Amino acid sequence: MAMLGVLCIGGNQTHQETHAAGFALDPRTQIVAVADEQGISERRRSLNIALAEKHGVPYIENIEEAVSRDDVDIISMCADVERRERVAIQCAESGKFLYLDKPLAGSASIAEKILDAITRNQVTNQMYSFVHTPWARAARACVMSGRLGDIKAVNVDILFAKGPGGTNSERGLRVETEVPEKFTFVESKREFFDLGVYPIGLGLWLSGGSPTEVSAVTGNYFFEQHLRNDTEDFGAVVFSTDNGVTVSAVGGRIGWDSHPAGGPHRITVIGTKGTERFDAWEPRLEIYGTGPKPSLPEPHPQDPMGMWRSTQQSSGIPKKTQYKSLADETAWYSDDIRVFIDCVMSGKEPIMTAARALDVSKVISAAYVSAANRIQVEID
Amino acid sequence: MQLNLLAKISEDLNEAARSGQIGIPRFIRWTQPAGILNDFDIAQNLCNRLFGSTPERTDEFGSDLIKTRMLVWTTGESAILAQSSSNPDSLPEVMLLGSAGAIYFDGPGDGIRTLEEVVR
Repeated sequence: MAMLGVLCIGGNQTHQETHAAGFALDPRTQIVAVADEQGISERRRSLNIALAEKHGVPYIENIEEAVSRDDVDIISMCADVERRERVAIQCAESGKFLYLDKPLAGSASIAEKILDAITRNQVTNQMYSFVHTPWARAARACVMSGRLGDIKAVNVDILFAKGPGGTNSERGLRVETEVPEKFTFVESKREFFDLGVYPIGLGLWLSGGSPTEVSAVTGNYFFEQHLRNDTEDFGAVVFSTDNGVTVSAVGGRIGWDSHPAGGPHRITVIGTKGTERFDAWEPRLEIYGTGPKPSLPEPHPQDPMGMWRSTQQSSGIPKKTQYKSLADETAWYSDDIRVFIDCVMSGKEPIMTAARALDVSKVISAAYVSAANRIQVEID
Repeated sequence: MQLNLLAKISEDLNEAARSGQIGIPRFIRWTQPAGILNDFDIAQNLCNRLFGSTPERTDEFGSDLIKTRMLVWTTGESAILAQSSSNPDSLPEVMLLGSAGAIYFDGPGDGIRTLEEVVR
């Protein structure tokens, strides 16, 4: 069977770095081009070209032309959040299979417009998430087994222990924006938006419900870069669902030294008959000794938070060695892409579709309103 | 769970947080079995001590059976206190995030379940 052609929108220093690596790894797909809009910043353009060169494919500066190519079957869309509405809708209108960056959009209202375009064009689609990680699958199997009885609460923490923490010593309640509009910075990003999507998505999926009431807080707890850019490095949200489950989700970026591995990644499922915990780093080996210990090198000027694979590699960020989890974390990205390709080839519906991701965006948007106004917010 | 054990954990967390190793305490996630006398009193007292005041905002979710409480302080700190359906004798789970580090207290969980997915 002929390989499926993949068009990558966006380039280095976006999540496309890892998405493209996943598609390049799968024997059923091949990357055929990298593309983006005309008129983007020279920095973004050169980073896109760098990804095209890495994969030995052309760079196309026209989305319409790129998505209509005959050799494109799948579009992997990682446009900047600020341009995501326009680009994602253009991709959906092409009718090609769509692999979407997370979160779906900068707000729930934009996510709805993207979903409308996807639904209208009947596009098989999936947003990147953690639902295919071993620990999330184990939590889901637990819920479906019924061994915990009726599920009453799901607690999920996904925090990334990356970047030089401990640089913000200011106290004070963060003044949050009801509807954030700027998300893309070099030194930082909105971490509740970008990482909170994982625990919220997992919580909703495991609850089996839709969100109804939301209470949230965001913070500038760890990094001066986030404070300087007025972007939160932390967020916590509690919400109820229409089937009677309470979900609490904590997301953000804590410092490199705050965890012996990649950061707390944990799901706790609470039912009427018991409680179980599913942790990305359990079961594990724990290693202690006099050998050399990895330490955080001088931050990369283009990526001080260690957000991207290319800059992590070029600045020599080492892998932490204290925890050795039996579940290989390096497979998380490629597993998600492999399952998406399975769905494309079999016609099966993916789990984290744009329709499901819309509920995640609704929680994130409501959470910003809650944090900005210090109130509990109802979702329609 | 014996209340004096819960109080001992709280006291040790307070001491560790004040040692300076984790910078300024910012956030606490505390999960304990339901049915403990006076619910979250010990956890909330720990938060108040670490954050230096009482919270300005408290939102509660769930039922009498399983409650989850979100707390926010005027100084920016926050906490989520949650109940679980674990055996009442189980230890709590705590994640205390500071500006420059973190403290974790893991009660005995069932993380081993993940193994089924890892080795399949």
